[in-house]
Amino acid sequence: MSSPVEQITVVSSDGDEFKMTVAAAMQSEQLKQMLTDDSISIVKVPVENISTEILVKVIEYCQKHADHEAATKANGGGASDSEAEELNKWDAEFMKVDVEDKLFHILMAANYLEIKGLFDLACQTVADLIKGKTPKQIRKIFNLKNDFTPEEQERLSRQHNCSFD
Amino acid sequence: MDNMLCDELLQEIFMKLPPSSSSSVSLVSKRWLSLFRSSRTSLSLRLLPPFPGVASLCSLLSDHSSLSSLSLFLSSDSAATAASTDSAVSDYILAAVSSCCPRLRALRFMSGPVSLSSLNSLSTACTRLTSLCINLPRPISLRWVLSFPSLRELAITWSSGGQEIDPSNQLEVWESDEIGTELGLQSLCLVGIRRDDWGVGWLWSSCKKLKKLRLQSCQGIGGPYSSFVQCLQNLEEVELRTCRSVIDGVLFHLAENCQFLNSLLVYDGGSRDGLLYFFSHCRSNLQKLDLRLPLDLNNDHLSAMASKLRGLLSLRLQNCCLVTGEGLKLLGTSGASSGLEELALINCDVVERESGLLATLGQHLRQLRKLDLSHNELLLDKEFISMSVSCTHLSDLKLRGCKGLTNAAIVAVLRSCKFLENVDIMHCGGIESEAIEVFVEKCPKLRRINVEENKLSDEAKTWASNRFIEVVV
Repeated sequence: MSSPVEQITVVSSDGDEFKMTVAAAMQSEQLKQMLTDDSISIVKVPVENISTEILVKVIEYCQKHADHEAATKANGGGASDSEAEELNKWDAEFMKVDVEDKLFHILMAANYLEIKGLFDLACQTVADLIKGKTPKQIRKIFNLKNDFTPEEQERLSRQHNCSFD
Repeated sequence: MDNMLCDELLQEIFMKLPPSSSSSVSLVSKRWLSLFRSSRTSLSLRLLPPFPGVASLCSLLSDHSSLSSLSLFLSSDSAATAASTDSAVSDYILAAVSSCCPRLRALRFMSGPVSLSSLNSLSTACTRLTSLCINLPRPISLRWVLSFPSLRELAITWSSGGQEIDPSNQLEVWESDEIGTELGLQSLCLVGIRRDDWGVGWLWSSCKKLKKLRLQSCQGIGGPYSSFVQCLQNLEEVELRTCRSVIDGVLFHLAENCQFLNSLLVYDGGSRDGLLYFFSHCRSNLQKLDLRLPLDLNNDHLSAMASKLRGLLSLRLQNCCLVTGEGLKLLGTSGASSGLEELALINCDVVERESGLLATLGQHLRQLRKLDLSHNELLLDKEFISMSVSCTHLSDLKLRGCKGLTNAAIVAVLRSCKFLENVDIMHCGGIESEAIEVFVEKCPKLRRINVEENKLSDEAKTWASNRFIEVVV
């Protein structure tokens, strides 16, 4: 039986090392699997496709949510409405990244590490970016090329105008 | 950034988009169009003449490979269009659906009547169909239901128009062949059965597992009552809308045969005697009652409810102008209502006429969670407040169209009802922006408010945004 671990170290793709508390690491299903498997003794976990910049953000999210969970448990289980509201506000601020690029990287990191809360949050943030925008604006955000011919575009627009809801 | 997000991630994002974004997303690029369509599990189409050809419709439906739920509305351009043309169009479109959407679980097909052979094709192709809403021709023929073994919800409309059928020509012979069939149907909605229609009897006697029944605009039940009673054993919810001619018989048999009925809705067509019989003899423990009966509901019925019912949870009365305070007080203070959680008195002028009624009701219904007093235009602050001071546990409050209420009402509600989450004060001319602003700021548990946009000050909008309150304008 290995001695109880209080912290683990994660290594970004740039080679930088970061310490995470176990509670924070448990926010990630991937890391949780490793931690709860007694046969693996953890020293350092490399996360090859996550850069330092993104990893810092991800760890910040995990720590905040782990702290919130611990506080809720201490209060006897039910999160009060104001605390839930506060966490939502924190999440909203957290997702205000300067460049959309960062947002996609965070989404992919959350997907890779299986952090459900962050994954849903990032998906919703990207969806909010798309909401209410024209195709042209969306293409600009995602840096995509319009590969429809004018006739195809015309036909699709007509379909959408009279038949879709 | 090009192609950074893999297909699955993109589809996860699409799932979080509202329907209004679908046209923009589809026009971004071919990859997005294809991923978006294949990620959608439900689709709603309105087709206008000239209707799309089979090829283009099939191509569209096949792109939506994950589709499990489809609603199709075929609009006709003129009422003069012959029913037979409608039928041909409906048939070929239904055929396209059958061939392109084999995984469909739910289909709503609102069009002209479809032929029975189209239904047969549908049953062979879409074997997982659990919910079907369809329009059928006369004469009534229901044997095809047997070919949809997974069906749990069925809604059929027989539209008006079409020839009168001579009842003696009906195929009663095959009905007796089907005795002993048991269908898995749990929910049934039938619209437009005419007085002389026949052929539903077999369906009644085969639906022993029926839990929910809705009849709309029916002048008859399409079969003998001896068959009808066979589907009543396990019935839990019944809705009868605009079925004046048949309601006596139905209510009688419901009272006699249902033991598990917990929800009844009767709109726009009742019968004083039928209702009285039902309420006096009903053996079930009715929990939800929703009545819109301007001509038929009176104090006798309320009195019968008061003595017979035990565990009423929800009572909704709309446009019931024959009811007086005496009847309501009797019901409201009786043991029947001691557990009442939801009360709606919508456009019931008794609430405006009789002062003190709401106060009495409030005192006896302190545990009320939902209150709806919409469209009582003459309702005064004093009356409303006398009720709200007692009903401190309210979570839902609707006062739509209560033009007589002023800011005082909102101020009082803020003081007494600390658990309010959903509030509707649309069209309340007397309630002004300042009061609404304070309300949005201070109401502790508010989650959602329905109010006109021009009554929301900028401060109110800021408060709503900061507190994550949904504003419906």
